[in-house]
Amino acid sequence: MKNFILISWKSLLNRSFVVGLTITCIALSTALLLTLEKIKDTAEGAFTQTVSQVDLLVGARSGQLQLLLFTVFNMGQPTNNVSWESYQYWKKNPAVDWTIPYSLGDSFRGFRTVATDENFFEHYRYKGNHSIQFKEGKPFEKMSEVVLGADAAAELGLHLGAKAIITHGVTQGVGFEHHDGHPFHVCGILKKTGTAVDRAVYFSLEDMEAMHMEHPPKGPVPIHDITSFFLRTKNRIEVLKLQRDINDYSKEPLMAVIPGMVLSELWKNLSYFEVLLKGISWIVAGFSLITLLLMMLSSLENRRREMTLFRTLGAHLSQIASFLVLEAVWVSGVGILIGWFLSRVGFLVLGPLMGDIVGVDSISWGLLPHEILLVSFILVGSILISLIPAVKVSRQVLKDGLTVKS
Amino acid sequence: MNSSIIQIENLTFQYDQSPPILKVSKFELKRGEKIFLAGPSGSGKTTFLELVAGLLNPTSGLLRVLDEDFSAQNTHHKDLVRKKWMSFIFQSFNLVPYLSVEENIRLPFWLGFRDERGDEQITKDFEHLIKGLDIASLQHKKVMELSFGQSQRVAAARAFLKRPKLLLADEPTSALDSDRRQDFLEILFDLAKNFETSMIFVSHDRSLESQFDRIVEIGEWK
Repeated sequence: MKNFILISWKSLLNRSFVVGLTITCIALSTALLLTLEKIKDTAEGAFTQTVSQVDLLVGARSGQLQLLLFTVFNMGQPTNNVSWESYQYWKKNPAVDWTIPYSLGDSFRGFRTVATDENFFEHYRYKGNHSIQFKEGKPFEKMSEVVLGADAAAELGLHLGAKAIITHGVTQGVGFEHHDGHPFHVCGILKKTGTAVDRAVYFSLEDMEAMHMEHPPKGPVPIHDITSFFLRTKNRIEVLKLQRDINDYSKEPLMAVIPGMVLSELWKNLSYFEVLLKGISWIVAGFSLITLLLMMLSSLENRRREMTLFRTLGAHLSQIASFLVLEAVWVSGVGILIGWFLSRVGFLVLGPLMGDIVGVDSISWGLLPHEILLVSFILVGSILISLIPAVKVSRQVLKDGLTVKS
Repeated sequence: MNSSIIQIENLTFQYDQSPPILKVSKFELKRGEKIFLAGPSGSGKTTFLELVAGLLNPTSGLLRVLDEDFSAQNTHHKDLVRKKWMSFIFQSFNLVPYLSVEENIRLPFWLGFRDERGDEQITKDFEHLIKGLDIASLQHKKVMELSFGQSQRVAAARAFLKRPKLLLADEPTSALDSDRRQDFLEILFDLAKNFETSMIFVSHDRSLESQFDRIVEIGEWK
């Protein structure tokens, strides 16, 4: 068997140019398939796990999607707020473990500002159980302190202790109306999370209120309302009941949604793009298998001579057929290995270009279970396809006898 | 084992509906015998070899090869008999271009040929054979680099390393000048004698026939 494999390998080396082209073709399509799959997985993971361990997302009654977009992705503009009294009411509900108040506000040189409190740094989780970590500094403790997301800090080039002026309204550049009277200084910079957290700027709820007062009081600033809040129950079994209760709350029209569910739904709505990408990569994989078939069929005349000789030297028909199948395994196997390597390199190059919602944190060189499924499809496909020339050559060899007959 | 290597009675062969292209009323090859099979081109010499090799099935008649009834056996069984007991030498030698001299000679073993000799003995036999054929120095060369005469000897070494009981040679000397033809024939005879190999030597060149035990005219069968 060992020598049988060796003959097959030497036979391929003898046709290295055509074989090399075929291997390249299979390598590229494997790389494409794996890279797209990996990008999709990472995007989906980052997207649907932008926030985790939150049971309910509560805001003023509007659309589920809208609530999700401005609370989780800091996108768009909330139409209505939740009063501070309602927030306090639900926060004190015995079924509630913790809450994070969230007030989406102005922009700071193109990055959204978010007013919250210490609960954000303590309880916010993403991608499973990752908590908010500080690269340097610490959470804000008093007024006029601001914490920057990793990308915000990097792109603005701000360091700990730097002064920052927050503009009013949502703009990409410098705001028209500056809150000159309310300068901040940077007290903390977060580590990269690969979520919308990286592109936001955080300060206290009191600051948010004070910023919009003409004459902020010297003492404690009263808070009137927030945009929304995250909520965690003590026991998951309470979630649906609590959701119903919040939705039925008579004092204020509120809406509670389960973020994981809405995120998955939203991802499904976006998935036509994923289907398209997948379709293209499968078509490319199909073409690479056709290339393999063409390579094998085009060399069939020569192979026929070789196989006729092998038969006279003692190879039986099944051995001759398996010789061609083995050749396909070699070509697609080497192609897949190269493609696998290329896909990881491709991911390293393309990953950072994928935008801000999707962060790429690490790359694993090993094959994941569903990637193994994908490459096995190529391998099995090439084996099946090689049966065509294998059967063809076996039939001819059977007819040929000692010498090739035209 | 009986003393006949090949036994044929009333054999006919034809492709599908076409008229018979070969009829053999009686033929026998005895153990150790060397037969010269003569006949003009297209007279069915190669077809005869293919029948004997088990690569074609006779249409009717008896064909016994190495104690096996080839008219009754299936393809796979005949493949096994051929693998175990037969060797071939062709006009063009049919060496595999991308393998070295040694790999070409050992090719039948790589394709699954086994006998009672162990690997060590086979290697000894291999070394003895290439020494005897004066190709030991070429062992690791690619066969593409060999001269015609060297290729011929590699083909002979490949045929005899498995100690065949039957050698079928299809015009192996037709591309050679008369001196080389004689040399090669002597090599074949020596090896056949050593390994007690019976031989059917097909050629249209009658100048060699006197050196064989028997001459069979293929035309006489029709």
